[in-house]
Amino acid sequence: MNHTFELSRMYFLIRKYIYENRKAYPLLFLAIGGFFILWLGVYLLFTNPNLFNERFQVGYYFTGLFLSGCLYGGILFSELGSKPKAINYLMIPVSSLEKFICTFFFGVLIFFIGYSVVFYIVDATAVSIANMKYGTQWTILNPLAIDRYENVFFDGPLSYVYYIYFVAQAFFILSSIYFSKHSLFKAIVGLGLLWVFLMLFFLLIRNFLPPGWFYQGIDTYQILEPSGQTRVVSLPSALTGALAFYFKFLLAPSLWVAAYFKLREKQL
Amino acid sequence: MISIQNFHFAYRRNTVFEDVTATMKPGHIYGILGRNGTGKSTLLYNIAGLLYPTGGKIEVMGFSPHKRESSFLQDIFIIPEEFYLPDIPVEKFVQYYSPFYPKFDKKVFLEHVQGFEIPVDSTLQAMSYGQKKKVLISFGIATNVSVLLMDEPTNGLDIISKSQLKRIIAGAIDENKCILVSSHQVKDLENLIDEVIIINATKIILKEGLENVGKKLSFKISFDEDDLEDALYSESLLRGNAIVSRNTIGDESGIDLELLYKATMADPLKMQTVLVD
Repeated sequence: MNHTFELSRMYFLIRKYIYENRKAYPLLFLAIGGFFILWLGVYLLFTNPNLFNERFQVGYYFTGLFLSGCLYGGILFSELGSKPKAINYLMIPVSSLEKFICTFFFGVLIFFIGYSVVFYIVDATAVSIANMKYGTQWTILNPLAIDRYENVFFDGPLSYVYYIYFVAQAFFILSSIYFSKHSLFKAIVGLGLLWVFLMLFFLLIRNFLPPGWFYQGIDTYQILEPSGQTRVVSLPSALTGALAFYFKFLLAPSLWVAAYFKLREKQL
Repeated sequence: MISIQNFHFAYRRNTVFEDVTATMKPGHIYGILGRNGTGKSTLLYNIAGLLYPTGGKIEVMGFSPHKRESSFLQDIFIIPEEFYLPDIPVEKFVQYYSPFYPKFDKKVFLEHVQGFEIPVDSTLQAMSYGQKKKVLISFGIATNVSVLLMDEPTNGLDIISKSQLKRIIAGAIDENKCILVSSHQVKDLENLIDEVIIINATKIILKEGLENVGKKLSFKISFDEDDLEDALYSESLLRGNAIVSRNTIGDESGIDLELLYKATMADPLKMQTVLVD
């Protein structure tokens, strides 16, 4: 018998998970759908047709994704915060890896797909009504081809926002395993502190740099010469490439791996 | 089957166990007795791998419990004092939980559930605490695991159900299984266990087979004041005295578990000495 992973055990676990959550997931997606119906429904009452242009739709999509995805990630392992539920969960005869994969599959992948589908349905309806009402020709946001749209948040392709989303959600998932009590609150405070730390870090770095400012991102700095002229210095492309690769492809997975190891050694 | 060596456990600065060594063998029902908060549940959680020793080593069926390997979890079941059951009908609970236990016997489960008069078609959340506990106990017994841990199993059960529970547990034991039952209600374990473990102040102060206890000690109610002189422990009753004394007759005496517990708590060393002699 393989102690780490076995398909038959995984099958039984997924079957059990689906049955026990057969009401929870439809209700979750209904709640998300209801939230967007209210939000976009109220906007349909306004007279501003621009509220449904692609830039705004991108804003709605990612605002909802970050809010619901992170909140849901923060309660994904909430049973570990209650002793009776934790005993039930930890004593199920499957490996920690199988438990993690099962919860991850539904809480991260199925949630993301479900959210995008629900948003698409509500958004398509709202944009169609808006186009009829205002005579506009806004296109419906397609989450599968997100790079088609303008990035309203920062310079770079819009799909980069997905990388940030999965990192943020992974942070919340890690928190839900790490902290037995108030994990959601602690994750929000943790992210806030991380943000403050990063700001202080860049302020500190800026003190050591000559007068100037960061330019087109944190890898490029524009120096203001005493003569009044400016000069741009950048980090080596290999270093920025490595950092970009880490933030895009390794940061979220490393948080997932940390969450798995924390689950493996979780005690009551 | 269960080997505990130099076991230490502490919740931060609160030491619960200190240098405890003990073994539990298959074919026995062990009763763990102790005051509230002495660590009965903590010991069971450590055996189940839900808590990790802060020192020493615990081995169960050759596994290190803290690794919570699937083969280990398939062969151990814990019925905690505070438990959780999902909001699903009993038959669905069996359908979705039993495949994880290769030795699960559905016939045994149904027998016990019917014995407890639990309606199988109702959902678990609609049941009372006692009814849910009966379902969990029936399920735990039906898993046929080698190590069954029961933490205060009689809490929340009515008098009739307590007797049924004793019968069920007694019927479940065989030479390959080891059952550990913790309780602070000493009476609930009478005529059930065959070995007693008494915990107090971070130690196991007594671990003894009841057969030996019956051979070495005598429990009686005495109206004769002279008996008090030879008593290892006594307590006055409304009429007469309850006495624990050396068994000089040689025949195995009936055991009053509550008196044994009180006598051990009063003077552990004296009881250990008498029982080892």
